[in-house]
Amino acid sequence: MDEKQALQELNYIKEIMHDSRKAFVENGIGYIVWGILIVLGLISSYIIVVYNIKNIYGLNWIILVAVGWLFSIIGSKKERRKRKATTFAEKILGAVWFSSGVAMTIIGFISFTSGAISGVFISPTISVILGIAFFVSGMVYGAKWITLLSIGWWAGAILMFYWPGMQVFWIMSFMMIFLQIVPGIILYKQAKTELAK
Amino acid sequence: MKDFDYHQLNDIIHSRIRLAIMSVLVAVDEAEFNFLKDKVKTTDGNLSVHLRKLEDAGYVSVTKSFVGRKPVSTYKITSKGRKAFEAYVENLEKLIKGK
Repeated sequence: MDEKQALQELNYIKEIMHDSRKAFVENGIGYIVWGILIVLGLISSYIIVVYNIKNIYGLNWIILVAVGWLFSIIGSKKERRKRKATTFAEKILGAVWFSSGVAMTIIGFISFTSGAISGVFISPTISVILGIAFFVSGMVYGAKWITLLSIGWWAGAILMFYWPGMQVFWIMSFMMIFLQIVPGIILYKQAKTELAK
Repeated sequence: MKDFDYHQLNDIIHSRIRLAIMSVLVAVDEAEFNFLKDKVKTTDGNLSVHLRKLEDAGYVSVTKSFVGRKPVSTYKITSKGRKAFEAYVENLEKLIKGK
């Protein structure tokens, strides 16, 4: 084997590794679905608080979060069955979002029902966790723009911690739309283009 | 490039198909037989032979399971295989650098 052949062999390795890594493409659907569910939860909570419908307070979140988890569990099972290869990046991201989801569910329900965290501070606390999840995801995807979304989540968390009140519903909804649903749509479009290649 | 001993290149990896299999398995954590077939672009029989050789060398491990009624073989690179692959790439780099 000479230098030229060695170089060809190395290029072949690089090419095949690059092609294989494309086995994992984030399709953004999880971001979109969870984003919509949370916005619906925030809007319904706002209505419940404004019209003082105390007897159903919390029920909206139980239903929406249960739908979200059901979607995620069924979706990941289906995806696993369809997928012919699993990348390490995919495993890391799955673990990050699963653990973040559990943490957010604990904060949302258990903290609120136990009274450990006032309702108005649930959204900023969840924003801090989402900031971490987006930061790690961006790093793993190698997508700077996703990493930068975490700045938005953390800035929003600071704002909501210092400025609690009814506006938190709107701030969080706004963040959910522009820092989660819209990026989810972008990822969905990118995945479609990538898979069409 | 006179003093490079080509025997330093691992004979088990030094085959187009086995090199491709190892490259795929380094890139992904685990892969099904059909995924490997698609990436390596070879026939079932040929791929099986090369996979068996890598398995015998302890470079890849296989898990057999059923998805519904369909048998599925999932392959994974072992730590021994990863080390051998890294050493192989290192030797190629040495060859290019003329060491």
